[in-house]
Amino acid sequence: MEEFMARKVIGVAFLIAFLLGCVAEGLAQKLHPRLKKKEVGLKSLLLIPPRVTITKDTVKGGEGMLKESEDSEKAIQRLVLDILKSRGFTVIDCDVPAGSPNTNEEERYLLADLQGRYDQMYLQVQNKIKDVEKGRFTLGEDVAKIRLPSPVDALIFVRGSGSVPTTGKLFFGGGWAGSSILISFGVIDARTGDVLYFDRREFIATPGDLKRPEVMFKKVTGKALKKLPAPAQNQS
Amino acid sequence: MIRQEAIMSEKNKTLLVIRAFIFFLFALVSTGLSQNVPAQNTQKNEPFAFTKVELSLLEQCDLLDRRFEKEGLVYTDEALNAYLAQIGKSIIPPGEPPEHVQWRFRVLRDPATNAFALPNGSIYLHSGILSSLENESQLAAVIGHEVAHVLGRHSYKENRSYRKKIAAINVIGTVARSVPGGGVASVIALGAASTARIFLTISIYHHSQDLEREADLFAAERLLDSNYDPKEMLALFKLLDRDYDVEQIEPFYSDHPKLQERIAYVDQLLKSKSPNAVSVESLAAARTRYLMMTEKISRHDIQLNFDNRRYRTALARSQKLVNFNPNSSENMCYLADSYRLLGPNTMEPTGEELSPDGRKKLLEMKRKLTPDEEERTRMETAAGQSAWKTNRADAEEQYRKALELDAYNAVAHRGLGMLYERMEKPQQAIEEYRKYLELKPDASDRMIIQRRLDALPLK
Repeated sequence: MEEFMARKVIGVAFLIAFLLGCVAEGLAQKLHPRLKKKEVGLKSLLLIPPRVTITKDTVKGGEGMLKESEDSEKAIQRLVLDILKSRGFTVIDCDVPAGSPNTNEEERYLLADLQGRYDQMYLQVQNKIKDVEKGRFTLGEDVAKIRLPSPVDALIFVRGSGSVPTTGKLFFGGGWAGSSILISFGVIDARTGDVLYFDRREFIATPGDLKRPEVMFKKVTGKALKKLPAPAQNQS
Repeated sequence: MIRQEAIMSEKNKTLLVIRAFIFFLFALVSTGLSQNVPAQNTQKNEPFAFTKVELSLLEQCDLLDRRFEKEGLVYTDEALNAYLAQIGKSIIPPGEPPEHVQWRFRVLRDPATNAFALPNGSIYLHSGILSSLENESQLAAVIGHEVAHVLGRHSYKENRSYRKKIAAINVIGTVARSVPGGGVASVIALGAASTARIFLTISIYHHSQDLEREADLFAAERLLDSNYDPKEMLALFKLLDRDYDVEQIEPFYSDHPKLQERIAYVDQLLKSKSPNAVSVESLAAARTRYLMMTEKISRHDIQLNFDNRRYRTALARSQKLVNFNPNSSENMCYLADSYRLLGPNTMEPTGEELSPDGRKKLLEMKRKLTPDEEERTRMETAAGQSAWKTNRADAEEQYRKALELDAYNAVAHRGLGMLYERMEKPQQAIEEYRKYLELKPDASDRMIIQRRLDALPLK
C-alpha cells in the first residue's frame, strides 16, 4: 500500500515537472505576413512604457504588489532597450514621467489612450494568437498621432501579469495551480497600427524572484525578442 | 490481527479527520457569517486600530494614486478639481479628517459611470459619471457615498472580512483533500467543502452590500442636512442604471444592492425626515453651475467613449451637451461625430439586444470580433443598413449646423471628410480634408489625414 502511494507521488511529481517544463518554454510567437515576407522593415523602434501587474497569492487571498510590479516594469524596460540596441536597432524610450517638462497633458493622455486601446486589442489577440499571422489585428491609424523628434517604424508594447504564491498558499491552496507570470511583447506598425509581431510566454516565479526582477525577466525577454527579424538596412 | 489493527487505525484516522473537518467547517463558516452584522454608523468617527496588513494597504493606495497620475489616467483641470473639492467640503462632516486620511478629489479618465474611494481619502470620480450626472445635488450624493466608505473604514473592514473568509475556504479545502480518497467520506468532505465555499463567497458579497447600504444612507443624510435636493439621489440611482451600450450582465450576486432596493430604503429615509428648505431658484442655479463646470470634461469623456466603442453612450452625452449649450459649434461637432461613428448601430438598444440572450451575444461579439469586423457584420444586415442611412444623414446635418455656428471649425470639416469617405464620395471627402489641413496646419493627426487624402482617387 505504502509502496503504491510512494509510486503515485513520484508519478505525480514527474508529471508536474514535465508540465512546468512545457509552461516555461515559449508558448506563442507570431509574425504578421508583411513582416514575414519582408515587405516591411524595422530599424527604429519606440518602446512604450511596459505595464506589469503582479499579485501575491496568499492563504488569505490576493495582495497587491505595486512596488514589485513597478520594479519589474523598470527592469523589463532596461532589458528590452539593451537587447534591441545590442541587435542593432535604434530604440527610443518613451517613458513620460508625470509633470515632465518635455511633455504636456495632451501627449500624456494620448499615450494613456494608446495603452488602453492596446489592452483592449490584447484581449482579442490572446483569444486567437495565430490570427496575428493573418494580419487580423490593428490598433488603428491613431498610433501615428504620437509626436516624435524623428519617425519610427514600430512601437513596442509589453504586458506582464500574474501571481506568485506564498509558501502557505502552496500548502493550503493546492500547489502551483493558477500561479504563473504571463509576459507578452507586441510590435505595432507605427503607420498603420497593425500587429507585426507578437510573443507570449509564461513562467513560474516565487515572491523571492521578484526581489531580482532583472534576473527573473532576462531569459524570457531575450527569448521573446530573439525571433524579431534583424534590423532593416536603408531605413531611418 | 496486525492487518486488522491497521485497518481499524485507518478507519479511526478517517473518522478523526472527518470530525476535525466538520468542526473546522462550522467554526469557520460561523466566523465568516458573523462578519455580516450591520455595519456601524459612519458618522461616529470611532478610533480604528491599524494592523500591519492595513498599513501596507495604505502604502499600496499611495502608490496607486501616483500610478494613476503617471499613466495619464488622472484628468488635470484646476478649476474642476477646486469645484469638486468645494462640493466635497460641503458634504464631509466638520472636523479633522480621521487618521491616515487626506481628502483629495480627482477625475479619472474613464468613461464607465462609476466613482470609488481609496481608504487614504482619495476620491476618484470617473469622467463617465461626471458627464452623465445632471446637477450638483447628484454630484454631492456620489461624493457623499464615497466619503462614507472612507469615514466608515469600509475598505479595511471588507479586506478583513475577505481575508478571513478566503483563509477559511483554503483551510476547508485542504482538510477536505486530506480525507483519504476513494470512499464516501471523501466525497462528503469535498462536497461539504464546495458548499462552504459557496456560502462564504455569498457572505463576502452580503458584507459588501451592507457597507454599500450604509454609504447610501450616509449620503442621503448629508444631503438632507445640506443645501441640496435629497430627492436627486433617487434620480441618480436610475441614471446609474442606464446601459446604452448593453454592457451589463445580471450577475449571480452583486456587491451593490439592487436598484429597487436602493431606491426603497433611501426613499423611506427621506420620507421619515424633513429636508432643509432650498429654493427652486437656488437649485436651478446649482444645476447650471454643474453643467458649466463639467462641459469640458464631458467633451473629453465623449472622446473616451469613442475610443471604447461606446457610441450610444457618446451620442447620449453629446445630446446632453447640445441641449445645455446649443450655440457651441464644438458640442454640435461631438454630436455629429457620434452619429457618424454610430454607423450601423441603432440609437437605442433594440428589444432583442436587451434580452438576456441578446446581451450575451453582444458581449461575445465584442470579445471575439475586432472593431472593423463587428461593423462589417452589422452592416451586412438590413437593420444595420437602415440605421447607417439614418445616422449618416443626422451626422451630415449636425456637421453643417456646427459649421453654421463656426465656419472655421476645422474638426467639423475633418468629420465631414471622414463621413464622405465612408459614403464613397471621394471628391467631397478630398475637399473637406483639404479645408481641415488649411485651417489646422499643425494638427496632431496631419499625417493621418494627408495619407487618407493621398489614398483617395482624384478626378
